[in-house]
Amino acid sequence: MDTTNTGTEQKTGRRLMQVIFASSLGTLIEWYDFYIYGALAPIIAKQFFPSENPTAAFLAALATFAAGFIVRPFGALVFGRLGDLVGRKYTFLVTLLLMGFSTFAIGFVPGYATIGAAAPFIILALRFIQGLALGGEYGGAATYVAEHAPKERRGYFTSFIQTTATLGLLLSLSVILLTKKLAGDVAFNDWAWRVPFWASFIMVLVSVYIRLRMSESPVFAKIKKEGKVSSNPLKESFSKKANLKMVLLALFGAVMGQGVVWYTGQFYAQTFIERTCGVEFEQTRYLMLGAIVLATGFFVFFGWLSDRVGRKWIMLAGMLLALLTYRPIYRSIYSAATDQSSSLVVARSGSSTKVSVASNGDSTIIQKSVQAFEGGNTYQTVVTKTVKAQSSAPSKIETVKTVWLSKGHFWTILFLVFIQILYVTMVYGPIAAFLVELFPTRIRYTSMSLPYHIGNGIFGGLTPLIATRLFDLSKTSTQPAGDPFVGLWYPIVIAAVCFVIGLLFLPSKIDEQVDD
Amino acid sequence: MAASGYAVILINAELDKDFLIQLKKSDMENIKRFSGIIWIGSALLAMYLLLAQAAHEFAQSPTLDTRIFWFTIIPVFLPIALGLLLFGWYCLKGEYEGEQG
Repeated sequence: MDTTNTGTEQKTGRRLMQVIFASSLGTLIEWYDFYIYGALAPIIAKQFFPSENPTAAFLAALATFAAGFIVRPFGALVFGRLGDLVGRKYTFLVTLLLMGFSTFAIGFVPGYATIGAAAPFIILALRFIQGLALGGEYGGAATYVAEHAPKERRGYFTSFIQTTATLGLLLSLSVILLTKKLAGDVAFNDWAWRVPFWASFIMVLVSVYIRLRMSESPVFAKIKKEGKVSSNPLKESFSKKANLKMVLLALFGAVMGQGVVWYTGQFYAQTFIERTCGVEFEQTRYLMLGAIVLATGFFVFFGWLSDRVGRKWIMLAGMLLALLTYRPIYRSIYSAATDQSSSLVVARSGSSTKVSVASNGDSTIIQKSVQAFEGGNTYQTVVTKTVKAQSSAPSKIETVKTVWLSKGHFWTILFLVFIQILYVTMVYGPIAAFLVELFPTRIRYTSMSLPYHIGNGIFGGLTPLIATRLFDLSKTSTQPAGDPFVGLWYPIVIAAVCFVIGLLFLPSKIDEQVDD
Repeated sequence: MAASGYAVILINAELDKDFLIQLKKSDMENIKRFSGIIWIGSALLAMYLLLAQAAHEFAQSPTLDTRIFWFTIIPVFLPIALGLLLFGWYCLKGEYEGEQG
């Protein structure tokens, strides 16, 4: 008898691991597809959106923000509805195929120089499809895993889905760096940037094959058999007060705060280190990759912990810590990146000026100065002045500052980014289980997907844009350099509001029944 | 006699405890209800600030970046502010009473 039970348990455990693997792999690939566009945005902009054409530049911004983030809630509605009508398995197969197709196709679109204005429009359309597909994917995967998982380990099992966004970012950066290394800089900028898009095709094929072999969620299959499937999930989700109030609570009491904490830790940190502090491109990537690798395991840890102490308090603790410590953390990052307290190493410091005159008489003056500090950072400032011979317009001056961090400062900043990503794991690790438990099976896919994608796509996704905007607004005649920390008020205020709403209204008990 | 007196004290203590729990619960419900005013106020303030800032920036010959920013922000955040307004209204009406806080 015992042997039979153990055998059955092993079989169930193996089956569950297959479910998690199939769901997580597909979601990871979708994140990979989504991120390679962002990581290759400067090259894509050059190929498809020439800056001298204002319409193309406008489309470029739209492709990055609107299609990338704002379209996601629409994807949540379209595919959430489908998932609640026909089932989770087929819907997240469709989103995976759509994402795979659009990503693969981006790799084949001829550039602006070949087909002209059609190029940016095709890219924009494909990016829209990417956004829609991503909007439909997450809810399906989270629901599918949660509806398979035993009630006492739901947080733990769904936390594997939560790692995929971070691992997708890691995979995209790795594939890009590898392709660049193999092809070389010139070939990469010319054509090899398309390779990461083509690589997606193979990954999607593998994932579709695995997912096709999976069966429908048992909870959904049960309600379908009993004829309890919702005939109009959109109407039921958003026009019935009992459910709409939970959608609003999920958004304002959990997901909006989680979204800003996530995007501040994983994306705004990078923008701040690279643009505001001027830390060199590769060092910035290594900082982010190092912190992500160190913190990823904590998604699973906090998912596991949420099965024991509840979802609410872990998520709220993450938000509270974030809003209280963001400013000190960013001040420490800034002071580590701008530290000039040690003595100057004269042998490694100096300045030079280079003047070149073009055949049309235009001249370019490049002034380069380097300051290296004993056991500290190295700072380089390059001022490029362009004077037009045929024009009375004032000369164009461009200043680029680059910092190479010392070992000590590198590790200090890596630790500070790690802390932020740890907050991300606290707020994001338990959220899938939390959202699944908040809504009934018949409208779960629709109801949880919309607040998730408004919180993450809009509140979170627009964090770098809004924070940078606040920074620009802080530049005045009395303070021309601006306040480098002013952008942090956006995530702090949103997280604070979310924390208070969550504290007052979120259920602290785990809802054990997800088959209702 | 002494035993029955002790039992009375115990019953009274239980009643006091229940009363305190009830009082605490109703305090919580009141806080939840009145927080609705804060959410409604926040939503209205957010709407006003969004529109006022956009109008201010558009009045000063906007650059392409400014236009892109506001054409992205306004259509996205105004409906969300309406959602917060509705959330506040539900709080005020006591729709979230009975939810575990």
